[in-house]
Amino acid sequence: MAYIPGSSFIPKETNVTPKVMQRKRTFHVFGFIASAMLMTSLIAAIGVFAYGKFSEKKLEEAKVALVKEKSVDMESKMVEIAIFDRQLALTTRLLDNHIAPSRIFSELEKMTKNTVQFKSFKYTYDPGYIAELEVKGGTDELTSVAVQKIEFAGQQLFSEFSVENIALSLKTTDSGKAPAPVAQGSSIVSPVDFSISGVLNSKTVQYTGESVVDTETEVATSTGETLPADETVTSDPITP
Amino acid sequence: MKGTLTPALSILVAILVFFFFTQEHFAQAQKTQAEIKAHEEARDKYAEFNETVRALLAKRDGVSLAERERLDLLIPSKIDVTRLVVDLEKIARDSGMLFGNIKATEDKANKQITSTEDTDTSEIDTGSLETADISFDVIGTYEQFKALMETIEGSLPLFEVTKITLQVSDEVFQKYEVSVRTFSIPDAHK
Repeated sequence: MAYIPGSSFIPKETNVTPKVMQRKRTFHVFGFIASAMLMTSLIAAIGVFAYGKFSEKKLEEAKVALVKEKSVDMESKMVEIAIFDRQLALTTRLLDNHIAPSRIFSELEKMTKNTVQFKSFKYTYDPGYIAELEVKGGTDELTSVAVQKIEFAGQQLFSEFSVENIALSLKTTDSGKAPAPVAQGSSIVSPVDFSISGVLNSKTVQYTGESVVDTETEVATSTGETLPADETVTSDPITP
Repeated sequence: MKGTLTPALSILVAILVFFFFTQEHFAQAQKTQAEIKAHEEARDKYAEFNETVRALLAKRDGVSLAERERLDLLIPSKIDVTRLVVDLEKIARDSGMLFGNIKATEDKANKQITSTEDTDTSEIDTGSLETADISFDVIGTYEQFKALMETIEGSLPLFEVTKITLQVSDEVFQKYEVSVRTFSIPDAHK
């Protein structure tokens, strides 16, 4: 039997790799991916769980803060302010539209010509809207009406006005002139009658002073006397 | 077989954990965060509102008590016609005039006050503004009447003269027909 090297059925020790050593060198990709996925999944689950708990805690804090802010009773105070604000706005608007009729008389005193006598006076005003004035007058001469009209046109009492109902009496005196105004009963008859009506200029007759009389708190005592007629009648442009 | 079973189970567990725990809890956490944001916004708005109210209160408190009382007198919460007539009678008496022929009408209907100024034509919402009209006659001289008008114009409560009629006679004393309107804000003192 011829000798053949390496043909022995007994393996040579040097050429044999131990099975244990073979396993250590094997890299299981599938196992690694699986392990990585599992670990990631678990870490994410723990993270999300913690995040959820943290969010719940924050929500509770936010709720408490909101309740604390809501607990301050500002609603009733807001209503108070709203009422006060409305009262202020209404008062301002009413005062802006407040008209002083005494100023009409003052203006008329300045504007009335000596030859003209007013016999009636009618003032109407619906607050917030226009104020109207109608005065009826009488004079000896027709030209006085024109002069009076020019005077009114040059002043600021009316924003617009018209002279109407000019009536000329045909009665004359012996000298050919129109008779002077005379009193008939309780009314006055003039040779020339006319009326002036128009819309008052709100800026001219607007109340500008302060409220000085407090009828609630200031109790004024009446003198119980009327002034003598001759003290006032001379400066009266609308009384005879 | 054993070598592939463990990784397969690991992947399965990972997937199950992700879909049945992580995803659900994350969605819940997101929802909670949105709620937190909404609560914080609401709290900020409340804080802003409270701050505004505090500023307005400070502004209102800046108006002195005397001025507020004066304002309440100017436009009271209730119209007492009888008291007003007494006041008017007193004013007329102080002016030396005779006072009488009184008529009073209360109007509960709301009024709209418009501005007569050219620059401001807007209407004001007067809410429950109430009015009362009082008409009366006074007899006296022209100067006395002027004094009466000046007093009424500046009086508290506010009287708006709505009508004056005069027919001049040859008498020294004239009869003046006057109508005034006064206002109230019923809920002003609630």
